[in-house]
Amino acid sequence: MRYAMTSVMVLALGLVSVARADEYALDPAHAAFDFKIQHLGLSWTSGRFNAVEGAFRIDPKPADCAFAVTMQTESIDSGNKQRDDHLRSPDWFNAKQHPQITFKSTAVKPVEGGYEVTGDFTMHGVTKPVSLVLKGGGSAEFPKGVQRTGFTGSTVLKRSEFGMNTMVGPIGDDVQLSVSFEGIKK
Amino acid sequence: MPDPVAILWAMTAAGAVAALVLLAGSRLREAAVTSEPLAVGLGFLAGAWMLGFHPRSLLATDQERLLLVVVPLAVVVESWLARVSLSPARAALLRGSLALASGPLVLQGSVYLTGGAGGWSGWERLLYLLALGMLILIPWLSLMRLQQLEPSPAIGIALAATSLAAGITTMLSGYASAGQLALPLAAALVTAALVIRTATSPGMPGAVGVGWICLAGILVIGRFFGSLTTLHGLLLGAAPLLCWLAAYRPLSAWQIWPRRLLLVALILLPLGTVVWQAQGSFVAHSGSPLPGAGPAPSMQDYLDFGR
Repeated sequence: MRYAMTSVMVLALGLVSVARADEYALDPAHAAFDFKIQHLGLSWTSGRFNAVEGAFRIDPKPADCAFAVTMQTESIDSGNKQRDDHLRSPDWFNAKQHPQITFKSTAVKPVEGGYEVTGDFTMHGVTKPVSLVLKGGGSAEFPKGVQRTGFTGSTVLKRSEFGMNTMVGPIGDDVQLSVSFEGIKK
Repeated sequence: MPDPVAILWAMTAAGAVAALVLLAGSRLREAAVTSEPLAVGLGFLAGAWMLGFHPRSLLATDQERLLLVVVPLAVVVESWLARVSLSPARAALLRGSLALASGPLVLQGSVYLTGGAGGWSGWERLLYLLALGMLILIPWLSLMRLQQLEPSPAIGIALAATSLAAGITTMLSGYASAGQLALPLAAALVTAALVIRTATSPGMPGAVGVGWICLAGILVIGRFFGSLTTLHGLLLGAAPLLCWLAAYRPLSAWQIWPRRLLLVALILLPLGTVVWQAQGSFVAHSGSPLPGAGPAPSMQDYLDFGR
């Protein structure tokens, strides 16, 4: 009898835990994956990837949370067509050879106001571990009946570590990547 | 990135290597015919090396696949064809095999073959690759045939002029490092044309064959990995074929200099038009920072920054 009750309790807790793990699809209309890179050490030139998709899971156990994002390299937009053409070429992102930039989390830890997310970041055919703190996680119902949550964070990458060595010097090696996105609960 | 000084050094190296190979070949009678394709191929590779092409693998990038696989294969094919006497049909079959293989080799691993966004799928892939192979093969065979009918270094010079225009256009079309490769190719071809004319014979079939494959390869990577337009690629690829006008009977009655001048003008017309259009498009899409602030900064301005 005791065994049966314990089993029922474990099963119930498991169901509660599963029920509380929320799966979200990234909302491309409310997602910004922006980058900034220094120009001549004087100012920052910014751009973004317009085509982004992804999904994430928010679990009461932070270690079970997961984030995955894919950016289409071809969708790079720095507000200057000539520069964007060059950025898509093999001199920079090589969009035809490496059409996607991806991030897939491998570890999630709780921090104040959000999560510290570590994962594999693949760009230009090279995969490196990258960490960033995502703050947020509040929830809203918008429009009615649609549950959503959102996060914001940033990190710094060295583009040369991803084999992107063009004009390091006048154009900075450090790339500031800032992300802000909402997800729609599935 | 396009640095005029580095490009000049690369062109000098390409010319010097081509000349050395040809002169060495002319001393060894048996090697003379095979030295022509080797001279252009090695000259091109030497120039590329001087421009910073330091490969890390064999197949990872489009430039590695072109310079380390397609160009050496073209050198082997042309060298072998120069040594053995094959029937025209068999020679065409051999060249055709390489022309058809060049597309898949250069595009290996890209969205065109893997079927990603903006790539080809199924029959589309087969048709495009077949068309690409034909666009490489037909001018190749045509130029070789013209070399047989009218042996002249003019074809090599026309290929060099086209390479120059292709390089500038590809650079202006957003793929700087591929475009600049065409400039040492032009130097290797001009050197080969001059050395072969004085040292051995008026014709240079092996050099033309390899030169064409190098040029076609640059146009292919410029079109499929950069933003070179299809129209510009086709016009640049077709320009050397205007050398056929030299064999046109009414023109062949002309004296040699008026005929050569007309030929130069006819070849420079499409080349100049393409470069002019590409330059116009580059300026239109670059955007000057401010009225009165002067032209948009060049690559050289970036390279000189801080010096």
